[in-house]
Amino acid sequence: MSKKRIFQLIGLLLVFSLLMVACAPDEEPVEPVEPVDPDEPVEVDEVTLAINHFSIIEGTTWSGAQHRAGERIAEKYDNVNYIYREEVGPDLTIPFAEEMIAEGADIVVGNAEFMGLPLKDIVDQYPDVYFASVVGSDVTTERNFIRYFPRQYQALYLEGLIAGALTETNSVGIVSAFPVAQVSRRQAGFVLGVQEAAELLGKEIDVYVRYSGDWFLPAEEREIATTLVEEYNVDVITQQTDSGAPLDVAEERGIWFVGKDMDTVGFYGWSDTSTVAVSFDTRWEVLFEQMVLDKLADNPNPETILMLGMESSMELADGREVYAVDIMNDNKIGIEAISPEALPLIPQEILDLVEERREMMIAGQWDPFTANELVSNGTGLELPGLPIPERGEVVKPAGEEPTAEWLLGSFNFDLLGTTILE
Amino acid sequence: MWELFVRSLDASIVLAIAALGELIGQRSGVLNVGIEGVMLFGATFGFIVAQTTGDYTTGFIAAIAIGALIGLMHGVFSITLGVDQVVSGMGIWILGFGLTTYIGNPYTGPLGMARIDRIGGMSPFFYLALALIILTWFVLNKTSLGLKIRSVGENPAVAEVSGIGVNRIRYMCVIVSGMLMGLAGGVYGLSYNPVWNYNFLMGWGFIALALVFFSMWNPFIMFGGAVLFGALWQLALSPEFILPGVMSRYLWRMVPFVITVVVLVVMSTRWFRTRWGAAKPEALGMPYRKEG
Repeated sequence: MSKKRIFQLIGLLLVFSLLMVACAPDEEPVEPVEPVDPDEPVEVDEVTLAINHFSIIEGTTWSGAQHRAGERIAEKYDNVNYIYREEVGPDLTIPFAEEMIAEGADIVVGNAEFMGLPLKDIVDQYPDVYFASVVGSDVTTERNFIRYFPRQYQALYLEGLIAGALTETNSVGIVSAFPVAQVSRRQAGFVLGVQEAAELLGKEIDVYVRYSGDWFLPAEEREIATTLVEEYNVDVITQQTDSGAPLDVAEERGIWFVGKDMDTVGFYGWSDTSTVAVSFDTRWEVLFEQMVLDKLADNPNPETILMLGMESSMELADGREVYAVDIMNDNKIGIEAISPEALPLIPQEILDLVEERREMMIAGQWDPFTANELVSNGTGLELPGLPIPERGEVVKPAGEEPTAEWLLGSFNFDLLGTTILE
Repeated sequence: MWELFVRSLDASIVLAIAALGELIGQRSGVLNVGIEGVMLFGATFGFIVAQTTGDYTTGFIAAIAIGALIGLMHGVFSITLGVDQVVSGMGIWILGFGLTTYIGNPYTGPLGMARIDRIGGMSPFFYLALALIILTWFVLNKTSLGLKIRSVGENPAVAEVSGIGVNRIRYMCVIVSGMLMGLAGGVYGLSYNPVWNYNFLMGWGFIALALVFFSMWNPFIMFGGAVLFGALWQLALSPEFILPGVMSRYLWRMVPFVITVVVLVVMSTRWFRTRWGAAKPEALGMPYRKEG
């Protein structure tokens, strides 16, 4: 191609681009948000729930579970529609959100932490739309910008009790992503359970954590899991990452696996109960239902920090009641979620404790983070203006209820007794 | 420690087989930066076929076959149509990422088959990789076919005048190259990490590509580089076994890549090239048009 032709082509492209820009509609001036008197609610006839899924939905435990939640909401409410986009990266968060708003979305959910800030940037442009984003550690909100996360640590605490009872080598391993409030909080719930089981059974259990550096690094996760088994004698393993590699290593090595945030046996058939001792399920629909009900009631001021746990539930279209989080395995919940192969290996006092604590959490009468003292291990992640508490420092005394904001945004330490493998 | 080293070899052989494929293609003058995409195709098709049939052999044949097909496609673009080889390779990578995500989704999760038996404590693919490396070195350096391959990679016009079918040789090399990349994907998805998930190679193809440049297009140096990279990668994941408390784990994770950069810088110096006679194929990446 001659130089002249190339310049002609570039010129043509420039003219075309300018024309496209010139033809774009003028930006509507941003209307100031008019506060609506909440005393005079207006019923909304129909609501469209829209979710930006950061990953594909098929076969993934995070987006897959939130997709099912959207479908269940639409199934229950005739006047609720559910639309979505998948594999949404940071650059596509706003375009897809606006596309779905143009399709009638009243609630736009971003199911990854990185979607939070982009969505927050457009909340004023769409004052009638609720925006929601999952929390990693940033808990900033706006009137119509909701931050949500379930109290998964409650289920993880129960899993920790079971893991502590199951280990014969007194070594439990966690393949983890990186220290961030979301991860540290969940690990702490699990460690509290392990430590309580150890105390009850007179064991000395080590909990080893190794970070891979990201949520999804299959090869690294496999190597870390194998090292935990081979070098640290771990015989119960769990993960705070997203690939199936640690589960596969557990199966290969014949050790127990404790599930992360999905019933991988019941929903996906990735393993069986001879490997998966217990898992838990997050019912995101319980959180989404709250947003939908607020929207249907045309509440201009929805609850902006949504951190629901076992005390929160919803009735599905088929009449079943599900809790925001619960231990689950092979489609069974509660104490029945414990693998039939693992059950005989767990002392009755632990089984009774699991049952009792679960019931108390469902009744809203007990919470592991309220009941227990939280003592820092001196490891974690320093956040702006929030250094890691010194080793041995009691960050929260027993009996004091931590706020949702603190749990979501400031939980930047590991619990004393956790071994972080550097 | 020995177990850690053996496991690092498991990772190294995936890289070595893929890099060997790339090396053969490059020696004939065809660059394929889409190695990650070909590996994804091999890993995904191998996984699906093995899981569906319950047979590893069929799975590996599928991985190799799809690799050959993608290699052929790269050949059509870069040899027959003469398009930019980098663009064609990038296209293959993007196609591999997108299409395998779409096709493989229903198969997400563990393979669910009994593991392939190890031989003498090592993966059987370790021996296969060694055999392939020796064979490749022998063919490239000791046979007339190897001379033809190197000729078309160095100066295709002269090779053509000498009676060598440049396009024929290049097609043969890109197909063999694709087969090896597909096999490497198969080894990753069926043996090393048999849990399918979209984009589960996470950049291993690009490491293999770097290894070829690292190796100065010599199969043995390439294998040494793969072993070194595998060992450093494993060390970076478990530094406490060798040098406890020396550096932050985040710094350790950089070590394999820092060393790769340092080696590449050293290799790019005039001194090194003069001393060791770096053998970059002169016509690498250049489309060939027969004159007249």
